[in-house]
Amino acid sequence: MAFARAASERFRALGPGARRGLPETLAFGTLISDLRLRNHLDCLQLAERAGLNPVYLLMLERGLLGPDEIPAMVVARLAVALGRRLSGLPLLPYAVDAEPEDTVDVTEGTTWLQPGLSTLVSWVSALLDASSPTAPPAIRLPDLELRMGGRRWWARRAHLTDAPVPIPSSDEYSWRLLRGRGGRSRDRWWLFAWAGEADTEQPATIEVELTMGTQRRVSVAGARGLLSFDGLDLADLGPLRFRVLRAPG
Amino acid sequence: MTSAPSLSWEAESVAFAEHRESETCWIELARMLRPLVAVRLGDTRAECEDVLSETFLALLELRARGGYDPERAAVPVIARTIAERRCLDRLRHSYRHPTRSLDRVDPEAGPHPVDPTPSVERRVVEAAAREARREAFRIAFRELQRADRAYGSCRALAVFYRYRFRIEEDDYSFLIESRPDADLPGWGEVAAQLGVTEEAARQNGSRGLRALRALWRDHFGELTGEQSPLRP
Repeated sequence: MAFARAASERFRALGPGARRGLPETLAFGTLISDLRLRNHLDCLQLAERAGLNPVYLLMLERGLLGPDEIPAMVVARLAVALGRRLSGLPLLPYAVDAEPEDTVDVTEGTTWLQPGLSTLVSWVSALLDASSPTAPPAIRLPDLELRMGGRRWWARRAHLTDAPVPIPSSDEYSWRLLRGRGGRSRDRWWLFAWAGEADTEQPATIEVELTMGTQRRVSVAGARGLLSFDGLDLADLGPLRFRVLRAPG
Repeated sequence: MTSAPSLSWEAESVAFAEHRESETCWIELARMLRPLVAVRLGDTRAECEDVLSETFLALLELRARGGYDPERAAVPVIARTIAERRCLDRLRHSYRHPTRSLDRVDPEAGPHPVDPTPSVERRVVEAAAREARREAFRIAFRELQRADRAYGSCRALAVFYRYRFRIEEDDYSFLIESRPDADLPGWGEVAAQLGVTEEAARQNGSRGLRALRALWRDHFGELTGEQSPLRP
């Protein structure tokens, strides 16, 4: 009955005469509910598959949430749970051209990356097409600013990949062909980025901690400034947190 | 065994109308409605819980519109009527649109008459074609949504609500042919979802369909009949 209570609270907060969310969120909720029934899942099962709270899912399905209450990550989790690529969903809960983009939130010591919809398109594809040669070989992330003790660095060309070496974007096609020969498992992922001093762009040998979902990894950049976080599970979707632990000098 | 908490529906209905219903109200309603819904729909837990949440939501919407009067009927009476209507809608819908799971295999369905074990290549090709259809539809649909936003119309969503069962089945043949409309959600249902009149829903829907056809033609070429890539 948690849903009834939460929905009642929501209507109370909206005041008399309130309608439900935006037309887009209402339509998206209908779509998710239909796809769930088509897959013979009840709300609890889908919520469990997608790692969401069942009451939240019911509120979403019934169009009781606004677009700002539905992060792109939630849409991605639902798409994976329902076996649909993001680009294969006929509609999204956002107004057209107002879809959430990557957001980077930098504070002293910690940098948060909330992946936007365009980043999550490749993320979902990589998860659903794990064994397919058409799956993207790398998921590109935006440049990140890192701060600690008044100093600043950049982590550039960041990307997640299932290859044990960084993949320059110009080489993606070759990697696709190589992977097309098959045989490689896609359950182990790496995150690579090049760390550099913000002012001089010289490689920075800093130690950085990455938290992704429930996973935590630490990497020390070498002389080339390459940060390498190994053994990541891509299915553990969540915002990425970077923290500088140590910086020489 | 614990007995159900006693509840005065008269007092609870007044409390509900004043937005201060107790938690027991929802628990008791669910306890009362669950067997009724289960009898109507059969043993499909997912659908039963869906009907319950839809019923609660309809009650809350009725109250938000100022349409609930405790003098006329107690909450359980209204809830029961809503739940019964929702069950009927579901049954009508499942009769018109029997769904099949992609996960489960029906043991009584027998072997596939044409290709019992499609090769990996064939499956890859079919999956790629399905994804291409979905993406193509999404591109055209987004463009229509963009135009709607500029003109303040709701053509794209009218098309979605009207043809959503076909869209979800990846069957976009409604873009090239006019099949009988009997199995489609009525314009009244579309209007209720969009919050407009039935006539407005009908106009938006047919204009939306024309616009989608034109957009599809612009992007992906002429729409043709039997060999159309729009079919699943």
